[in-house]
Amino acid sequence: MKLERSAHTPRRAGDTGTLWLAGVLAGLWLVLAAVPGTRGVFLTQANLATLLVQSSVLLVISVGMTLVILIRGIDLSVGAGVALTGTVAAMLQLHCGASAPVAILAALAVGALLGAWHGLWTGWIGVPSFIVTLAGFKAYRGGALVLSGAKGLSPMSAGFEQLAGSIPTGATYAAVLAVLALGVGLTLRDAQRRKQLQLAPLTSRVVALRIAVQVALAVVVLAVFGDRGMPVLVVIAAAVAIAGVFVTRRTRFGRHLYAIGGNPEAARLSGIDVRKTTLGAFLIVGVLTALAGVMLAARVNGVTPGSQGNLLELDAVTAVVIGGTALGGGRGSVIGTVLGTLVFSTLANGMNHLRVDSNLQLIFTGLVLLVAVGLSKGKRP
Amino acid sequence: MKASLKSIGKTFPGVRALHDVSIDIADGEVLGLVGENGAGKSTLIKILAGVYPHGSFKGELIVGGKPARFGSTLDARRAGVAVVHQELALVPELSVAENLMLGREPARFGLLDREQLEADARAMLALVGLDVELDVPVSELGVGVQQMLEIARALADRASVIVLDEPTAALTDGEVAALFALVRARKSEGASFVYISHRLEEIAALCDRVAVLRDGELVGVVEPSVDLVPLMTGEHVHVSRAREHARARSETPVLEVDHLRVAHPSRPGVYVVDDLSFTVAAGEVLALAGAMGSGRTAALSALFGTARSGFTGTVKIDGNAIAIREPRDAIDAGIAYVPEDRKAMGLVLELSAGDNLALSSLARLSRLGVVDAARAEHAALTRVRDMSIKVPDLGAEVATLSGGTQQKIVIGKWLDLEPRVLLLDEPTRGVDVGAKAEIYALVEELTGRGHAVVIASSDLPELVRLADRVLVLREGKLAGTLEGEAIAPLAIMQLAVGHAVKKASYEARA
Repeated sequence: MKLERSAHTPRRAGDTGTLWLAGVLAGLWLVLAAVPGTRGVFLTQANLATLLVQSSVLLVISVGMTLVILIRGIDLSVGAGVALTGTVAAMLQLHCGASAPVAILAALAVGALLGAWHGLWTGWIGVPSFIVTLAGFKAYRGGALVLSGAKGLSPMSAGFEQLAGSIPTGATYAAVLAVLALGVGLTLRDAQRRKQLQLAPLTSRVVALRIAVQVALAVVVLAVFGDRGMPVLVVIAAAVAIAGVFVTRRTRFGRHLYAIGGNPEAARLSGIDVRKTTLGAFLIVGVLTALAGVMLAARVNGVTPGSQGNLLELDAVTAVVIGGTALGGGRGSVIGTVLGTLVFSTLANGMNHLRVDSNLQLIFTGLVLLVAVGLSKGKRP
Repeated sequence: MKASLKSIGKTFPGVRALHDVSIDIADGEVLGLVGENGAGKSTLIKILAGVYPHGSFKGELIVGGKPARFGSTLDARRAGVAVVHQELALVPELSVAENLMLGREPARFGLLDREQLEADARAMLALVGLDVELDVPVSELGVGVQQMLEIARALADRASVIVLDEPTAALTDGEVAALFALVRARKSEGASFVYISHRLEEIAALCDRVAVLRDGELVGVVEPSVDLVPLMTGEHVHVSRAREHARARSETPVLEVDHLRVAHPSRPGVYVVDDLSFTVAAGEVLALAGAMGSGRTAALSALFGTARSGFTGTVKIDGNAIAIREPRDAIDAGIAYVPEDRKAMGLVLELSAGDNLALSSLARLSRLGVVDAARAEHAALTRVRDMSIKVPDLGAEVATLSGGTQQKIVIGKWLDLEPRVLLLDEPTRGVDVGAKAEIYALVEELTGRGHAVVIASSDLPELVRLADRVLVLREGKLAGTLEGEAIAPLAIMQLAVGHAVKKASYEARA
């Protein structure tokens, strides 16, 4: 067989789509930097930092949403879940005097319970996740209002203020360099493992390219946050995104998600536990919802149970879909979702700078969603 | 001349699918079209059917004496070209009548004329001599009947060129005979057919001439009596009809099944498998034969834990009784299953060849839940080499691979687990001759290594070729067992239908 020679690193469906999207993002940034309407503030340190902070809550939700959409599901309850978990944390603080860590852990536990609840109904009872989480969409908002007596909860206590702050410059450098070292290490280890098992080696060009991309990312991040420290919200969002990429690409659970989304029957007949994997995906979204709930409460320094997290579920679906994940499941990536979220936030940020009327912004965002998906149709097999 | 294809060429990105193919289809002839998977048959048919519009391929198409420039399948249909595709294009929820009249519903001012619709549908059924209720949903019918409905739809167009793409894959022998009679009748009225099949005995029985494609080129148009296999493969792969008895068979049973009963998924009190008991020894190939719906597939899927309403009876592996509630239980006990419909149940079409090969053994390939991608690739490459799976690289999407290659991947994904028992359902359906021979060789190799194999198949020569013992099922019950020299197509048929088959009717096709 001639396979020996022609075997190379498996192509990943979506690689071209991801590159394309990265190009779109870069293009958007350049255009926004150049147009006079933004008065040259777009590509400044301060604005990029704001942009990333504004993206962080949506990003955390969207990473979770990617997992459930990959298995042909959806979670419409995340916006209401953000309100409910935020309310739980705020109530514990304001009325029970709980410390921030306790309040946060309680919120995360509630999120996990909600996720498990969705997973059980979807996986075991077989109700479509659209319905299960539509029920949650109603119920959790109601729950937040009932718990709080429909009153706004603020301000959050000291522990939360730290969440809204930044980590020191030294820690920022340490964190970025540690992640970079991890990335480079993994790349080199991959190359090493392939050699060891006598697989077609990664060419030094590929290795160099991967490392170059990682270094470039680190440089950009340090350029933005190096002298002011990285906001804690961005640290959390970045950690979630990196974990999401790792889980989907490198873990058994992640591979199972793609298999189930591609063909649930074949996955089941291959011995994959479809129900447990489904439960796992919803559990993760639940926890990430709670994390986002805590992050948002910290950012706005309080919880408005009636409106906190409104429309977040649809913004997340928008970001995931712009990111190239198919609503029909089986195709997509967390990297795409990260780019999709950034494109989404960039548009919002850019339109604010251009002083576009907020009502017009809604119309424009809708059109962008359509056009993005329409354009990328041709990019995918 | 009904239709002519002149110097047809078609390339896809990176692949030359067809090159300079010229074929004439004469009035009132049945032209066979054969070739291995990937030889270009489907592409050629799609050009003829207008799926690939004029301008997207090289060469010229002449239908009914006029140059044809089809922009769509509708144009082709209007010009008298009808295609019965291999994959069924029926809407499962709609009734027989609604499906037959799909896209041509009689209506006045947009209001459906139900009576006219039924009358027209009845006439179409009469055309193919099919006797089914008009108002049953198609999903309740067997695949064979569904296939006949498709054929009825094509014939009703009064098409002058009718392309039948693997029409018999899901038909029983009775239905095949009916189809052949129909084709011959329409042929005598002047209609021309292009008949595609992997079953060469059907080609020989039905066709007037045979066009052979290989690697996108026309090898030649020959008499159907010619030995087609060397032409198709370009080499002398010979599928032996003789069974090889030299097997390392032992007497100790690996799999013991006692009083297996599988309830019908929707009709209470009805059993699709009724009191079936058998054993399979290490190194043995046991075959389950019978007509469609006789319980072959139901028995295999029950043993793998996928029977919707469960089953009763005991199953033992190496003497230990095992409880099988879902596929995981069966897999843990050492059972592997290659389902009948590889696209719907065997493969994840969105994933690459490598990912599909790793599907069943991810647990072994990962530590603490993290997949060792290099090891997975190594395992997949080993599999690709050992089984000569023809993929350009592991990243190839399985959807783009030939049937034979796909099937090898479905089988290959199990081999890392070293299963004790391999259940194969229609392992060579839609698989070309070369890959078929390789799959047979693989089965022999596996039994040689002491695996037990249970195979369900409607391909009689396949059973004769592979099986040590054949259990023939009829309506869920064991109709008889054949062993050794007694295994012959006619004997299997007789047990399957429950009365003596006129030798002639089968031999006419065989």
